[in-house]
Amino acid sequence: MSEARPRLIFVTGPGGAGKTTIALALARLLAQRGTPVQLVRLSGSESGPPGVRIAIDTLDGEVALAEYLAGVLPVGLGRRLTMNRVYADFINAAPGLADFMAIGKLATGSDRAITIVDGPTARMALALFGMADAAARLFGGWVGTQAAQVAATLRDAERSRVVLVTRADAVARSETRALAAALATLELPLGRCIVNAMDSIATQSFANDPSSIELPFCARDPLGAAELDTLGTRLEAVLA
Amino acid sequence: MSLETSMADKHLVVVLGAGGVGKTTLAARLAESAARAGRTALALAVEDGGALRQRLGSAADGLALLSVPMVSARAAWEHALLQHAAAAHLWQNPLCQAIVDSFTGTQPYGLAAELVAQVDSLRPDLTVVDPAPDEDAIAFLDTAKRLRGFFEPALQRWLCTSYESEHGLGGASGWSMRYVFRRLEAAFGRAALANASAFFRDLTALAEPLLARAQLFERMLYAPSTAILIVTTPTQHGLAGVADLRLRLAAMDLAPAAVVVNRLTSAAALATVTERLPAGLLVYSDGTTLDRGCEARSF
Repeated sequence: MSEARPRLIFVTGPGGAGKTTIALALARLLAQRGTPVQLVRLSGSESGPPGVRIAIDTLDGEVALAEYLAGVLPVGLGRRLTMNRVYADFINAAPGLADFMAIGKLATGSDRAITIVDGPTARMALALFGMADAAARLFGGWVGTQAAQVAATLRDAERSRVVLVTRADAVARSETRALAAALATLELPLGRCIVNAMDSIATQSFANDPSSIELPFCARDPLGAAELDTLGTRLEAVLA
Repeated sequence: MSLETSMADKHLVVVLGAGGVGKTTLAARLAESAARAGRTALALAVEDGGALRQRLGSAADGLALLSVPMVSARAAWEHALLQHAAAAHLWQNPLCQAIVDSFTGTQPYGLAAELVAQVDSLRPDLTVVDPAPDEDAIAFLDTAKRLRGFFEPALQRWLCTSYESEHGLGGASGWSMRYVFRRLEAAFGRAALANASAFFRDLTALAEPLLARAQLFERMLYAPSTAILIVTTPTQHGLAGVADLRLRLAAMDLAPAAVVVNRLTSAAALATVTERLPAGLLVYSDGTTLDRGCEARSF
């Protein structure tokens, strides 16, 4: 297949809406079509049900930073720095540094595989996306240039997409509307909105948006392989 | 004994758990029932507090409930910093502005600072805190230790090895430090480095009041009148999360006062809970899906 597809898919939304399940189903769908796919979870974000066995990489910003430093500093110095307790204190206390490295690593990753990023909560996702802009504004040098490239990659609808997973209840819906508005302000490419647990609460279509996908699933125990595959067939539109 | 009753002598309740398990609902319920019992209650949440406010609803009107949901990390930082005259210069720094506006990881510090400030000025009988889930909640509890680590003399010597002095008087540091500065310059640009240097210098000047406040926070957290509650669903996955959270708490010498299991709708779920949570740990269900009589069940 030669159609253009985003290679970076962020699955986000309110807690307990079924983000991990959706991410798993998407990953299986792609894998079954022979597309190389990597499922990534940011360390520190909530961990979803383990479910069907599929390799989930945890992307740890601290590790990314250490790798990065090892690459730009002379061998001895880089190692001495990252082994230092003072360095650990700094990384622990410095807001956002590890997350910034994580999002940078995601955006500059290989183009060969599709990466599905599972589960940053709505607030964290917004902060992550906003941080690349802030760094581009704040820094000169090549870090500033790289941050601008990361921000551009996240905004490019050809290369990345944000998929919202929400629940049908009023609280989740209002949270999701606010999130969608905030993402639009950041000019990030929004994909389909998946409204989960539609069977549990009688409700109208999500904001009467014809592009939303409504699912009768509830986020409870992990789904089995067959259930995930059934779910996958309903999610094809997400990849279109 | 209901959960509300067992929290009646508490002054601070921190509600932990994954997203979507009913943390905010529980926080609102505890604040509301304390207020109904005539205690003044304060509810604090991260983000705009909209969800908490929504759940507190109009039922809370007319009660002695002081709902002060947190506005934003920015507001909390502004509140925390600008009461010190020395912070005015720091606040103007572009790096400081970017950190409070755009960087992740500032919420936990903001929440801790706001908690101390609000409790100090309002003196409520009960404060219920609903931090963001996951790593943010751990960072919130760990605020004092992280700040102490940051203000360690060794790190401060590092950060405050003035960038300017490296340019001007040559500085006292060795070649490796100068080398690092050159590389940093190429990486971030001179203007950003000068900002960072000024930022760390100004921040260091505030070490004393910030650490004093962190210590107050820590004292509140470890007081006998403080309770930590873990909220979960009765799934294998949820209960594994509780075990993980208890380990993280134990590493900080903290322990949950009770675990609240929501959506406990079946006998099978009850069996899972009994099997996965250790005996002796106080467990409550949310009381909406099971009979009220099951609430104070201790497994």
